[in-house]
Amino acid sequence: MIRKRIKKEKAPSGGGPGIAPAGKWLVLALLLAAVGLAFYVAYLDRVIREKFEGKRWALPAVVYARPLELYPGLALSSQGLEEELQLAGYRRDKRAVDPGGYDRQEGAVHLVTRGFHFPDGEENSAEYTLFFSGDTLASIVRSGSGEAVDGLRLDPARIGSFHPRQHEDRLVLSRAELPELLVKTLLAVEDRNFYSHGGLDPLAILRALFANVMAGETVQGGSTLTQQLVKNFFLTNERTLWRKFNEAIMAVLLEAHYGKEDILTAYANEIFLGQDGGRAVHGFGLASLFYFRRDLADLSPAQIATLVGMVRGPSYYDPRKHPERCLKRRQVVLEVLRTEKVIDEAQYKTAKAAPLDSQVLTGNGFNRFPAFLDLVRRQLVEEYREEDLASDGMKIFTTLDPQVQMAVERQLAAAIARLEKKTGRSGLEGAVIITRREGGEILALAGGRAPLQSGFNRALDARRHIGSLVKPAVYLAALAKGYTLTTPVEDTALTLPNVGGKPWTPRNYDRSEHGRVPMYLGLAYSLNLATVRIGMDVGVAKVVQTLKDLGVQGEFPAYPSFLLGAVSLTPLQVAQVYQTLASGGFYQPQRAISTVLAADNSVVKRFGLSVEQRFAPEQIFLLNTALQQVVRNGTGKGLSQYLDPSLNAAGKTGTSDDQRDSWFAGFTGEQVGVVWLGTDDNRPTGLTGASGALVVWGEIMRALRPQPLELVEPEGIAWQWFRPDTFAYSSTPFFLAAEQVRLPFLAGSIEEQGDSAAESLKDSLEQGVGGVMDKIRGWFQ
Amino acid sequence: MPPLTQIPPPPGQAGTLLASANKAMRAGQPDKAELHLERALRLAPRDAQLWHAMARVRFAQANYGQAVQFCLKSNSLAGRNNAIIGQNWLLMEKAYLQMGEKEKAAQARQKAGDRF
Repeated sequence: MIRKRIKKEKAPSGGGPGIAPAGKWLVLALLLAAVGLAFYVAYLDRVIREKFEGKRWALPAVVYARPLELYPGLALSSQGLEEELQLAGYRRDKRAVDPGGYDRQEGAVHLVTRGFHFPDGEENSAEYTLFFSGDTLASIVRSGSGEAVDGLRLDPARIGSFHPRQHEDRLVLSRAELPELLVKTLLAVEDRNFYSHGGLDPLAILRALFANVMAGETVQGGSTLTQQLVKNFFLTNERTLWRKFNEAIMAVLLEAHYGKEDILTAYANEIFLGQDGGRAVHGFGLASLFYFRRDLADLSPAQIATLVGMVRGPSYYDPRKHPERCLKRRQVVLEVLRTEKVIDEAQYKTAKAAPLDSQVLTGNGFNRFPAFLDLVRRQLVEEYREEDLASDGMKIFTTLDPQVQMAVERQLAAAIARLEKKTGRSGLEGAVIITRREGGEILALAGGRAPLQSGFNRALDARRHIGSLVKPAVYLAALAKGYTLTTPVEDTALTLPNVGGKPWTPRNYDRSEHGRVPMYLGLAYSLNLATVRIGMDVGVAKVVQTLKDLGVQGEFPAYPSFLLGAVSLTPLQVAQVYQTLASGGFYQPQRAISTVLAADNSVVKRFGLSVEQRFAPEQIFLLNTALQQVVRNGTGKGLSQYLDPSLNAAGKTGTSDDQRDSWFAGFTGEQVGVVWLGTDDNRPTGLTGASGALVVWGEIMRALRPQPLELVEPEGIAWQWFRPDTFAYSSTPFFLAAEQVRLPFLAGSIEEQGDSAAESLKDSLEQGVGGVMDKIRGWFQ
Repeated sequence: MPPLTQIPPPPGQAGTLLASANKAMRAGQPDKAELHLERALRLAPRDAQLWHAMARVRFAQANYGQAVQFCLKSNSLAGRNNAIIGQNWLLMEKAYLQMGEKEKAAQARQKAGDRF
């Protein structure tokens, strides 16, 4: 195509008179060069316009943690609140007056919230004082009116965002949101002729050249803001003439297409201003929050001068790493402002005397929780294209509870290190999921022992044999078939034919048999033989269906070994199963996202509550009581080292063959938790569920200060005292019996035995326990 | 359906949020009421009255299947609170009628009657 055009243009000048042959060639060469340049410029024009348009409108989706609800009676210390405030980007002031500030007083925290648009509406900034009594929030008083309030909600922590270019973050501001002082300072320092030049400022270049020659090194840049913007678009640091040339052309093109204000706004949002671990801080809006924990609009002249001073070299003038350099640079900027009459003498003096006062970088919540963000991203890409997530400015409200998440991370890492020491084996990994007992909200998720290492997310992707964690499904299926908690079952050896393989002879963990036991003890002590016998009686297919009803999707072959957990699930799937148990037999889909808002705060997508009753409440009540027995007397007894037995936690241990996987799943009053431990290459860990995952679960729950588990008793339940040694029942406690337990029964289920049992119990109370035991035992044989 | 005036609201912030939800419902904004109730349920997750209110929201959103499910959930947490259990069955009757399940509606009606 180029050739064609060249030919056309050549034609008229071809046989022109009066030009010497050499001159002809020169004209031709010049023409060629001009045309080539024209095309090159057209190419650059397209590149820069695409870049500019793309940048102007690309608003990354922002991901928020759940907002902290504060109300009197909440179990939260002032220390815990401060952690939350830091995560949400609040700054500690001497005396908080502006939004986003707080100060601590004796037994109280005083704060000024930021206005925020929640999914249910705008909430304005307000000032409160929160009084603590020990580790409890005692009262909240609104400043000004002095009235006590029922509660308040903090604007949530930003925990991540989705970017077109990963790791680049910004808070996009409009031209109207840029403080005039910032604009004036920027122009005074970086580009005095911004409003009059056409993209290049030859005078500034000459001035810089002169200054640099005089100094013998580069001390001054002659680039206009437009040139700097172009440079930032392509972010390379090579200093070649060719690049300078390109930059200059593109700067002129940019000016030809766009207005000064557009260019200025783009610059303010694009300029690179620092590095925060893995993310690059772009634009003054984010830099203001990052360095000062204040909105740009709230910055003092000294702080504005600091930021503008940093444009020259964000890491060289980093206020945290190089405070002296940064301060010196700021004073130079202030000097310029005074000379240019941007600020008056008094402002200058105040600003010059101000300390650097950047906030120490602590506890910022951004990108701290990659495993959880991974889950959020996976849920979102089912609904949205990645490009939209990176450009539409959506606000994604998640269910992450930073307090719980941090406790999980701390306890998991510490416990794994301890367990490795104990077993003398290395390479132990783990995954944890904590959900809200009602509602299915995922509060915390750990995909490995090192929380910041994104990569293999074991909570979502490690598919492992669940061992005895499957047993509740076996016992639930049995209860549905009419078993009671005390139905006698045989814990004795058996061999089952195995289609296409050797016959299967399951064994108990302790390699012994326990004879006749009441059913609930089969669960409490995780007896394999009793469980297999129950499961075979109920039917493996029924047990498979029960597990599916509990919330596991997929198809599973109904082999007998399924009854002992020869089924591979991820920790997240296991959490769903125990969620259904914990919420009384109602299936509630797990949720990591609650609401998605568009850039204009309209609701784009709700992930609302949904419930579906999958089991009769009575059966779940019986099963959960048995799961409490696991913790009180059975394989979960070790939890008493971490949790007060009066919390009545329910749970189950799980160990896969050769101790390759160590599991614990259970729940307390408010939370469901699942812990998996194992190695990535599936080696034996030397840990059982009780000696491994239970320890981690106990440590985490202890740190969360759980509420006691209270099971709401459905109608039609009758309680009986029960002696597992004799299978005797009584409505009152047995006299002098060492081992007895109060258990719930469906009202009808023990009626047949009821009368005679009551009579003999009366006898036993009158005669003493010994004599009638054989008689009672006889009924059950 | 009679209002739930005879049932005291949950204390504190959850009660305040329930009041906001009721206000939104009266204003014909069930979606807004839903957000208030989700907040309230985070503070008082096993309050049968809040789950019942959620069932009313689903009913107003014409999501009758979920209205029934939320009533069942509410019942599972209501203990011996006959007032709430009765209200749940009444709402279930209405929801079943909307779904054209007359037999289930009649059963629900019967169960509601047992509670008053």
